[in-house]
Amino acid sequence: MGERKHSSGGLPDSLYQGTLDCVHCGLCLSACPTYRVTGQEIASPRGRIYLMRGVAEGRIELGSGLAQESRLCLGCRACETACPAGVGYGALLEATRSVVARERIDWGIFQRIERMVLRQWVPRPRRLHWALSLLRAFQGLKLDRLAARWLPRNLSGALELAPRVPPASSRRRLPAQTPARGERRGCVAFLEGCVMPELFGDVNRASVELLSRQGFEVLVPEAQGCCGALQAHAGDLETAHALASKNAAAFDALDVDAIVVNSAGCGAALRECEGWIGAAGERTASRVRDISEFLDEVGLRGPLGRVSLRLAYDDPCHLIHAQGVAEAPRRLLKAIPGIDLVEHAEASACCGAAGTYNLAQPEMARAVLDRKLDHLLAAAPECVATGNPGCLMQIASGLARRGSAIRVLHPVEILLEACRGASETQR
Amino acid sequence: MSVLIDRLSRIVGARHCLASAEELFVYECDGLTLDPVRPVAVVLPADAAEVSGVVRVCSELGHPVVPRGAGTGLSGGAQPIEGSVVVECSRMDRILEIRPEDRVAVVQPGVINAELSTAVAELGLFYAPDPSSEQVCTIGGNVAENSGGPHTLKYGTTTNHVLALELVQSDGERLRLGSRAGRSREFDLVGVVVGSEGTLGIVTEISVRLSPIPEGVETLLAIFDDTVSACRAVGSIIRSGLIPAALEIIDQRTINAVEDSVYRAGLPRDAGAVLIAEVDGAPCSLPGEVERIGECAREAGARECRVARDEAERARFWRARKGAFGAMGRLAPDLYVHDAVVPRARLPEVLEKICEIGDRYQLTLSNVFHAGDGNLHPNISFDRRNAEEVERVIAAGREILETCVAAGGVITGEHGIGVEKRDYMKLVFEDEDLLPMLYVRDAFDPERVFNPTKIFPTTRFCFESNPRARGYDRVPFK
Amino acid sequence: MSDDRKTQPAGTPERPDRAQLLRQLGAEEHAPVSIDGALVHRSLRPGDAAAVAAILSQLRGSDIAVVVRGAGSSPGPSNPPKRADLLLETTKLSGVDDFDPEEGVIHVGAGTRLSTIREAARAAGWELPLDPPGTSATLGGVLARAAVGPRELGFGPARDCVLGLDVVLADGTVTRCGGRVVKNVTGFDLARLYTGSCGILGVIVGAWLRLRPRPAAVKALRASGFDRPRLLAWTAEAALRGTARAAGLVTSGLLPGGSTEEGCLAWVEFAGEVLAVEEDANATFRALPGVEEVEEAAGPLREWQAASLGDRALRARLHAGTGSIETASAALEEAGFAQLVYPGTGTLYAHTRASALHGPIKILRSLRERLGGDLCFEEMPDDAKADYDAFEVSPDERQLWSALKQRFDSEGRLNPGRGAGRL
Repeated sequence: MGERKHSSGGLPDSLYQGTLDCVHCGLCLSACPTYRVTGQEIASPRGRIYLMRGVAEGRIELGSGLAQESRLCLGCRACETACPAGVGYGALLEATRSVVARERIDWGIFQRIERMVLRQWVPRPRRLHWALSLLRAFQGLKLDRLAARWLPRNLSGALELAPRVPPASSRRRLPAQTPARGERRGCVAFLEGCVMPELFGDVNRASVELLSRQGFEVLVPEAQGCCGALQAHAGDLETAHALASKNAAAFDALDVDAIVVNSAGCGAALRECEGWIGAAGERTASRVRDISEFLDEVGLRGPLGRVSLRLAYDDPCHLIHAQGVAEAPRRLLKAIPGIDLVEHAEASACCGAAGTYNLAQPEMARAVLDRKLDHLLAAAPECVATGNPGCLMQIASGLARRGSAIRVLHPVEILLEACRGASETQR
Repeated sequence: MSVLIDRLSRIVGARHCLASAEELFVYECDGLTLDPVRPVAVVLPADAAEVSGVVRVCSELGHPVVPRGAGTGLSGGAQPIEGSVVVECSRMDRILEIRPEDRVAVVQPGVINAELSTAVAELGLFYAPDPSSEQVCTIGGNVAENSGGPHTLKYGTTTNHVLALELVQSDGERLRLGSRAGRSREFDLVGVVVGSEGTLGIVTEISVRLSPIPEGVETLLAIFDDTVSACRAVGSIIRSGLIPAALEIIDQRTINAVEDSVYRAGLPRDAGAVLIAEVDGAPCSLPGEVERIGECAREAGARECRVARDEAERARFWRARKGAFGAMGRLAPDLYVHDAVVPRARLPEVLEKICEIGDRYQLTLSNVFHAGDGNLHPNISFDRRNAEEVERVIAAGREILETCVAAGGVITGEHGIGVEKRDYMKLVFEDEDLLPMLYVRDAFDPERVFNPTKIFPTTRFCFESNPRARGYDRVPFK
Repeated sequence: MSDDRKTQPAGTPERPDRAQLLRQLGAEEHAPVSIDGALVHRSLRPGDAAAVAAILSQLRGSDIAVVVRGAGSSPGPSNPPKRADLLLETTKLSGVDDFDPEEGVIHVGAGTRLSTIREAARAAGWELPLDPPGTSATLGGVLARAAVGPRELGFGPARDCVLGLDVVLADGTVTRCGGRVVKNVTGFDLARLYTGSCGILGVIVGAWLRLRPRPAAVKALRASGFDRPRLLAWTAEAALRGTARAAGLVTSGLLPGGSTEEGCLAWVEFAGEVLAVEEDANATFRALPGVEEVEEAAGPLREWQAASLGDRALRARLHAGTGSIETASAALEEAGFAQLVYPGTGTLYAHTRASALHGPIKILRSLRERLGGDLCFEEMPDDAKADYDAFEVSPDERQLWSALKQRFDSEGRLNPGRGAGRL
């Protein structure tokens, strides 16, 4: 087996070797959102892996087919949860996208702008802050709607999907250190992220307050930054690796119980940074915990106040499929008195946000989201909880479009309400 | 060719007619990857009317039609044929009607097996045939292959659960066979269409029987030092007069592959084999049945028997069993899943011979099978890029099948003949036995439009020179 | 077996004189035997499959129509033969050839009586899952009609117990399909096609059957003295229980003298594990006052299934589905039909006597249309058989059966006219 040579058709050999784990059993098909929408083999994990292998073996050319498919894939990695052979699909996808980007296959204006934004703006907090302030001003004057008319479809879609940027007051950065409240149980580092503080500053502050109320000192090292997940998903592994190295260095310097992350996508990226940067990422990767996973591990400290809410929990793909965390958030939420956790169908399926996917593939994102919304509306909760910024935005905008009053919250917001509620009633 | 694509596109819509190199490339095989062939087009019709239109165009232009469900079949039933158009049924995925009082559901062929059971669960019903690929395979594909699964031991295979069909013929005509309310006993055509591997037409609507969810279920895991003892336990369970819902054996190599995968269930890695035995029915009689199975297992040498504590553990056992095939991907890039049936009493000796064959050909062979039905699945791990190894795999496969036939068995219990075993048909049947099968195919599809190269041997029959085959002067194959 | 296959004449002989050919085969003329009204003067009783093959292949190219019969005891539906020159009786193709008591599978000749198979099975702890009416019924006859009795509820349709068949085609070719194993998809499932095709595709000469373990316990109950809706509800509920093996109801119209004082009669039978049978029987016992435990339920039901109202009787079998059984039964009652109802399988036997069948058949057909089920006529006056096909198959199915008949028996000499659509 070792002595046979393959040209690998321009794909890296590691990618080729990865495709060989697939025995074509097809158990991934029904888990794949794009297959469910199209019914096409090429839009399924099995089909994509077969195509990658075919290209690597030189049986078919590396062309726009693979490029388009690698972009149509949400990267939700639900197939990995379904795969008995343990195919590392996420890594295969990133490698394929990286080759597609390197070869500039079907490289249009969207790809160019996306790469520029992800490289130059997103990882730089100050630039991102100013850009979003500008967007907020635009939104205030409703100029975004005007601009949408003149821009290409992808970009106008981006403006439509852009969340309302909150006022500067809620876009403050987190304090470098927050002391534990009550009896001290330990010390954790917290990943602030790039987009989270800008668009979900409240969720970040809620996370820190929750950790603190649970007895943990929280450190937010200034040297940390963007995790690189979005760049990697877009095929820019170079930038992703650089960002991972930076984060590993920042967190390695700290002596903490865990590196707590409240964004599933970032958590998955940090957890897997060993695959990107090797041994340098080992210490960081092994200490990363999603906030729900962490609190579930250490045990939620009561008492918890009552939060009367009919709640649906929707799994972020990068939490359930990439990090294998499914039960922890449910257990935490169920522990809150008054929470009625209802099951909706296909809770573990992608909502279609998938990083920048809803901008790049608006039509498919919409189809995938519609399926999600149908299931959510059928379960009729008062509120949906999900622990990832992309999903929060996607589901909220979808529900709003359907005229639904269902709120969308990060689980920590509900947990914090319960913690606060308890201390208030005690007072 | 563009005429074909053009006309097909007009029927199903351009976006559901696939013809680019990459799109066709991924359709070149189903679950059997050994001998890929690219189709000239793939269409995804939305309903029976579109299927009918597609078939009419293909007949007219002389393109064979290959029906396809989820492409999980293991005998190449959905493998394209030179010049063929693949009719992919994945978009015909609606449950059309559920009649709880009749315990009947009417579905399109693309409905996923397990999703039908999910849809009727709240009515206290389920769809009994449960192939290991139930999470993805379609009812249409199940009908084509007459699929089985672990629970066929008690509940029967697909054919026992299909009441009526709509079948599109080569001229595009849609025929209704059977009756969804209740079947007459005489003159049944549904039974021969089920299991005909897509050679008699395309099934576009299926009425299936639903079964009541049993009141109680107990699942027992018996742990053995070797596979042969586990087989003996199965023999004595059957003799004891019990009708368990399932009796499945997993050997050590498979246990370890599964335990390494996301489908791990805490099976003991050092066991030579485990037997999963399930009984269902009235809760009052289950403890006694479990007890009797436990006795049979211990008498046959089981070192431990444990009963699944709850539904979660039971589900884990079954996930492990059903993920076993895919988990073998951990051992080598490719897996040849064999499928043969022998009388249950012959299982121990046949299994020993199969292992001997595997050793002799220096192949990695594992066994995970429906022991209660005598339905073996010897799995051979290999690398299809190694031509010499592939030859050994095929030679060993043939010997395995010959061994099973010699023991009074047959060459497939649930995967079908497809392209994989068409040349082994003569291990089981004489030419004369195939003649009525050809009559049936000719009666349904005289133009040989549907899956024409499947099932029947590629070598020519002696009928051409046989005066008995009067009026049958055509070469059986294109 | 391989020798049998080679029996074939060389070349195409000139069509010989009919009587001479029949004499050659050893079929001497005898007093006429009526097969559904067609008189046959000659018959043969071949002793094995090879002999059947020899007869049929020697008749090739002739115009001699062959009708096949087992014990001739089936009360099931049949069309009269269009032509009948030679009666082929399968009764001598009898005996248990192979029995695997470990596996519970048995190979028997088509002429074997069910009672013989039952005994062989019983002795080894198994039972034959076939219980059609008719004490002398042979396996071949039963399979040709796919005949079942009240225990269809527990046993399933006749096809379910057929693992493999030996069939001699109309031209004398000896063929085999299926096998002896319990799970098999090697080629088309021809056994399901032959079973119930009333001999129009070939002559069944032997079969591999799947037996069932004998149940540890059996209990039978009988209820009477209630009106039809009340008793039907009781029977239908019993039929839903896990161990129910037979459940049937007979309406007063079918009872002797058509007495209405007694109301209807119903029987149910449970079979299986001791505790489960106990539980089901007790619950059913309590569900209605006056239920009594009896020795047998399937036996009386089997007799009622073959019951006839006598002169000018029409007995139709309607498959309505379990969900429509009450609707169907009520409609039949309103139209004045006496009934035997199997709610668990959704089957009704509708009885009436009429000088002209047009009226009742119209009612039955409209009921079939409304419920989407199947209909056939098990018994009708001989003079009506010319007007009504016993098997009401759809035009779609008739088209395919015609294509099949064309290929299996292109000369149309095997049981001509006896099939659906008078094929």
